[in-house]
Amino acid sequence: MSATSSVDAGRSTPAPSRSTASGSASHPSAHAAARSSSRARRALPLLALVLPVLLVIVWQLGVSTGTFKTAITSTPGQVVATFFKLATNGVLLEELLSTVSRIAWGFGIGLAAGLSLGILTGYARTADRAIDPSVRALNAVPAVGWIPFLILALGIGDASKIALIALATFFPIYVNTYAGIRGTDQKLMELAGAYRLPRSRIIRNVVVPAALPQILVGVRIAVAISWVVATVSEILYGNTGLGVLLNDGRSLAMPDQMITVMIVLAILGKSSDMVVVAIQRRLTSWQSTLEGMAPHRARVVAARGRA
Amino acid sequence: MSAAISIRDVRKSFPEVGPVLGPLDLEIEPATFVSVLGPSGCGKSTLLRLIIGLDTDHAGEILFDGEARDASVSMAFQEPRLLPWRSVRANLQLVCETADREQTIDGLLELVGLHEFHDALPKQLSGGMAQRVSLARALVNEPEVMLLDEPFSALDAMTRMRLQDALVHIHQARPTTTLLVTHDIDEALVTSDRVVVLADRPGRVVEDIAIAVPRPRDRTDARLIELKARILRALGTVDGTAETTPAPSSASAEPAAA
Repeated sequence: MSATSSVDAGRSTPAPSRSTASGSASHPSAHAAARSSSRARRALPLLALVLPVLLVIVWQLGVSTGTFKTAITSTPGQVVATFFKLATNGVLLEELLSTVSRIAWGFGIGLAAGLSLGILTGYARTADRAIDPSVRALNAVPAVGWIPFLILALGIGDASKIALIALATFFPIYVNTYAGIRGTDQKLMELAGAYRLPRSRIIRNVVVPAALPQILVGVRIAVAISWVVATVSEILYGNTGLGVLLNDGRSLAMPDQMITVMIVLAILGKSSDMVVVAIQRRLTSWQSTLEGMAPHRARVVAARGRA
Repeated sequence: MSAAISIRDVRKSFPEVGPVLGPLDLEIEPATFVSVLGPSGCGKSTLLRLIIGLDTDHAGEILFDGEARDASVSMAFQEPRLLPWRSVRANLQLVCETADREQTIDGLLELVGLHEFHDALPKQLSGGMAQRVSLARALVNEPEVMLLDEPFSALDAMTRMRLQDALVHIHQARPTTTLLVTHDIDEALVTSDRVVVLADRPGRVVEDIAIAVPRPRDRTDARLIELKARILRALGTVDGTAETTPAPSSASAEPAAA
């Protein structure tokens, strides 16, 4: 008896790539359902535009009827004009690059420190006992609470702003990395022990990948925080950056500039979040979660739920 | 190269439950396939954990070829325990230490009938297929001793029978000292050279039966049915009833024994 004939190769689960192709190709109604499902999927991102469009309509109506004061809210048309003016004269790009470069440095440092310390304290019991309590205590200090100290220590230049972003992003990454590492399935650790995997291979191939979904939650929070902290630091003591442009809009009574910068920040924040989500999806596609569930299956499950 | 295992006066206690195993003495010849049966909680899985060294806090000694040395021991668990983020091949690569790694893995995947699925993720496999990957992983470094802790218990009866046959085939192709912990008497009879029955907690050997029936074995073979009756009697003795026979097993269609 050959091994291949004696076992259940391919009987219960066909090769992964084939099942969907053969399953849906045979029936006309399956074709129609697939087409309609694909149309629905394409239309889904447009749903996200409904609320902003409604807001712009309400804004324009408010301005036209005199409900909103243009001295405070400007008009959608003026905001668009200001956006093009700032975009074409290079001011917006210059300030944006200034903010983005601070975020890149600060976030990079926060990510490296949060990941390495989170892995160390999450994995090694002694490091956990020695370091984690102090880190947790420092986490209780709000990010903006560090500003006076950082100005004193590093001055009002880029260094203190980068340090602030690094600190603010470090904590969510550290906390989530630590939790992810500590949450590694005991059974997988036992497996690694049974096969006598070296410690470095356990960390690289078992512990960190197991913690990755949680680590990426921390990264996502940190990315959002980095925009907030960068803008706050620029508003409070900046010479360059989007925060400065925003603050100038207030002090020079230019609501159109203020709102333009706010919209740019919203778009940048959302875009960076989308990048993290895309990375998250790619790196954790092995999970069997609602996130990865085919839309039609999720709908069937939801439809079976009681009201 | 297979190793002989000598388990001498081994005892194991847990603070919460007291003694669970021993005194236990067992000699296992190289390349033999031994099944361990016994009531739940009699220390069967604990015995495997002691042999592989996942638990070192015990009395007595466990020797390989008569020496207290680090032997190459592998283990397949009740659940496949595949790393869900690694493909079938990558799961094997992680533990594989042979020089011709890819060739070894290809050969093993062929042996367990999963060559076609080498790139699949664990979530794309059925329970039986995942357990076969786990068996392949246990064999990847050509261990001296292979430990199997109820590897098929979560599978349906048909898949379980197919995997038992596969296990016999694998053992014939690569004779390795194998210790299988199971609740399934038929599984033990179909696969093993010897069946060791342990008493209720703390586990001690109450019956050690040689299965001298040539492989592959017919599950309805009269000799196996006779041996099954003997095992049931041993289990009945130690458990007070004959109900230790597992849930649905490959021999459910056989005439009721003893």
